Amino acid sequence: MDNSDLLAKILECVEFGKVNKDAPFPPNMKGQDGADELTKLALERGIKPSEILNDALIKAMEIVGQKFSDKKIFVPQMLISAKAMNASMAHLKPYFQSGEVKRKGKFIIGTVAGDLHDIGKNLVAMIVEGAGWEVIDLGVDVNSQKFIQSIKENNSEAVGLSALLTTTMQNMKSIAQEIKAQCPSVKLIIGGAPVTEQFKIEIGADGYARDPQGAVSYLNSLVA
Amino acid sequence: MLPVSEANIIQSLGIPAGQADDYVTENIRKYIQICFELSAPCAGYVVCSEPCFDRDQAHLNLSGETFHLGRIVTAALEKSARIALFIGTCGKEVENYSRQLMKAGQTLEGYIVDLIGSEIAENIAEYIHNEVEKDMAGVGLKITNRYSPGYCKWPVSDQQQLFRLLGENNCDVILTDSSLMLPVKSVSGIIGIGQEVENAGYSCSICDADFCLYRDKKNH
Repeated sequence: MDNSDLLAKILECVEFGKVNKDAPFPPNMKGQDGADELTKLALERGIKPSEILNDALIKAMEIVGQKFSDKKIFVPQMLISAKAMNASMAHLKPYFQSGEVKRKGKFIIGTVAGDLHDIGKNLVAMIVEGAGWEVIDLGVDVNSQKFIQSIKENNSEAVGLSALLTTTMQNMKSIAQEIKAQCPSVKLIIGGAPVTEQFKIEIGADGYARDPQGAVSYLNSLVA
Repeated sequence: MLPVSEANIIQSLGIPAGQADDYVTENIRKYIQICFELSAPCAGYVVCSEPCFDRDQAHLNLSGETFHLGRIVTAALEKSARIALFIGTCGKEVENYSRQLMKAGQTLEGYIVDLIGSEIAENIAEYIHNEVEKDMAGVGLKITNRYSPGYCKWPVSDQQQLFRLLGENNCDVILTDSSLMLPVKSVSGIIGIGQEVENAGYSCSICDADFCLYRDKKNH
């Protein structure tokens, strides 16, 4: 297997969710090396971490995100792919920290105050990270001050607000307005089951994503 | 307690019927069993008499507390002679387990456990609803659907009044400052009781919360 085949194999592992050799999923790749072993091998062979990130992981997660948007795969497959990506990403983390591999920017995400739901927010965080962004996840029940503090500390390009409940959408509105008042240059994207494009306009947010791939497309448009 | 429906979990995962991988269905079966062993269900209800409905304001005054029910829930309950306030929870064990799995990188498994916890909590609410119905039938009374703060634009903040009336009969469920329940996998609400009320089943058609997460989820 040459280097380009190896990168293609890592891409395949992430696309189909083959985490490591022991992973039982997907059944047709049982017993084969997964994203974990192959990424380690790629680095040992001298393939640049940036190549692994750009030519395997980001491409794989683009495919996964698009399949999800097209309803060709569903949440479970997406989560399994994200797990495989994380297994690969773990080998790349030291290169992010040393600055050898640059990411597209910093994206802060959190579920708004009053709302304790985090699954959708976690999915977006994983897919955005897989698209080459550094993700700072503030968790759930996050108030405006916590968002603003993190935006200022991290000098982030964009912030994502998530809400699952219709009843917490109003909190999203006040948090969005406070963020915009104190950090006017940060791009604000919103998402969650009850949230709509119309609501984005009402609260003065910059972007609305109906799914994780929508968030990636919006964020990538900021750095295109 | 009602069994957790594998099909409901598959639907909650967003998978169309018949399209779930074996790997996913095997995990659902496995974690339903584990969650049943882990869960510590608790449920109960208290009955308050002499409810006073303000139709113009769409409020309910009950035992010194005012509930801002909104016009839909007020209309559904206003013929009630008594009101049952209920609470049900599957305990904190299932949600803690979900968090543990997610923290360990087992996101899918953690998500499945989270959904099973929600299903168990909803089943506990169904159980207590049935218990109220049986108890009231014994004294010749009927009951309404159950309604929870957050339904049909009834403000979640009214959980505070509901929990004050439940008092110590709260199954150790507490409220956050934003009136969400801990453990999260809990359900609270009210049920109307009387001779002229009916349990009409659930229908999204009575509610105008177009963006509700649960809208038509179960073909309401």
